Amino acid sequence: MDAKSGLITDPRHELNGKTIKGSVLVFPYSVGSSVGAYAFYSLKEHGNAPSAIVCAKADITTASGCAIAGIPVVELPAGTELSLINQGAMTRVDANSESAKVKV
Amino acid sequence: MLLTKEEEESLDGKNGDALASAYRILAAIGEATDAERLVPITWAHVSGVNYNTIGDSGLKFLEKFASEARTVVRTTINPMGFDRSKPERISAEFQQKQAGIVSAYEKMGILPSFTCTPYEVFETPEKGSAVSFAESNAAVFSNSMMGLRTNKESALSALASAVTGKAPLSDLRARGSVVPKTAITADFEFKSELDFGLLGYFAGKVVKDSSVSLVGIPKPSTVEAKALSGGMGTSGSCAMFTIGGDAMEKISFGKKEAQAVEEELNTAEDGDIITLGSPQFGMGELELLSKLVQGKKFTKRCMIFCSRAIHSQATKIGLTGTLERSGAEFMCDSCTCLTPYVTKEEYDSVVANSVKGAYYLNNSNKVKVALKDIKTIAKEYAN
Repeated sequence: MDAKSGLITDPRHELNGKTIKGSVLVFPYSVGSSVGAYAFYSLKEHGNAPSAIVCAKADITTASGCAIAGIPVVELPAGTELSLINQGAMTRVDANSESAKVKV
Repeated sequence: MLLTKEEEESLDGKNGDALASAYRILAAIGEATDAERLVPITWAHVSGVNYNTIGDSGLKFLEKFASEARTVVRTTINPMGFDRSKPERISAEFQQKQAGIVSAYEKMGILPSFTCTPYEVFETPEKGSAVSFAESNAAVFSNSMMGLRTNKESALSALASAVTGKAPLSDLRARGSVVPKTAITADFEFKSELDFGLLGYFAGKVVKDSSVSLVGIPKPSTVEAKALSGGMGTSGSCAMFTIGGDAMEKISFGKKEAQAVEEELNTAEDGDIITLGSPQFGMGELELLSKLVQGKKFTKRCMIFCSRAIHSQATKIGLTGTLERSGAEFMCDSCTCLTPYVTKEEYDSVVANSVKGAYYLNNSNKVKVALKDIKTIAKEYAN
């Protein structure tokens, strides 16, 4: 993704060209470089951060980057299918340090 | 995760903004990895040094962070973008931004190691010591070959550990003895370190756990284990391998699987130049290569990436001299991954020895890669 535009820029990705700004970003977990954590911070700096992240397993890269960028991260209970949240569905995330609710 | 009173206070900002940020990171990764508490670490290795990896917002973050934060444990750092003694062809803007990043880290009190192989440069702590390594090949290698204990940290989580001296007690750091759930069996004879790299990349992709048992291969040499660790760290979240050992789930790594990885990363037949490293070359690779090319000349420009510490050690025993007489150039402080030395404007393709290097050259530097092992590179490109 390009932090300056907030667009996904991987031609092999099905969401290529879509913006993640202000979205509820849903993914299983992050892979790749340890500097990926800075990508979340960079999105925030450019005003292009997602409003919330919902993932199957919160990983260290996502959790640390979002802690600094102030992006709420919600981990779904084990066994819950991410596919319950459809691309484009209006999704509401209510989260604080005690509890979290994801409503589709 | 339970925090002590002192940790709570730091989290609440009583000891400044930087420590509050650091504890916010530790609390977040502690929750994510189901840690019960934080434990002291003896060594942090931080990534996010090359300007090409963290950009302007990273620089801005580090400058602000460095105005307060100081390292409290030994902290080593990853390669920067280029060799400090060879800034030619690096733009003035890049040099200036890179200098800003380096000076922020230096202000925090890091050791300016600029290496992705700290395990080859620094004294190793006792087996079982908790550390915090962000560089993925270093995390895999140190867990698997040296008995250190780290999770696959991020640039920011290792930095948080550097300035607090603490990391969550969870996953690989909390392990007694590891019994991986998955075993990968190699069913063909490995010919070179490249096969270890391909296995590592395959393992990272298919294993969702943090550890894996590797069956059917001998205990790897340092050169082979570096290739394996580099590949594994690149493609997934697995941060430790054991050699041998049964497991519930069994996956086969045959010639077909190795070929599939090779086809993904090997995107060219040949290259304009040769780039060697990632992980940076150590004494093992330098000795191997120098024997192979002694008295011969490289037919293409050949850049060898290594740390300044290894370079200086190798110079003392004549290894760098042998390689330079063959026409090789040494690039210290930096590595192939995202280096501004290799741009698509200048090169269409490069010959590389490393699976990790090939991944980043393809995907970040956007140049095509002819992936070959060290012996083959010496055979085909030195005479």
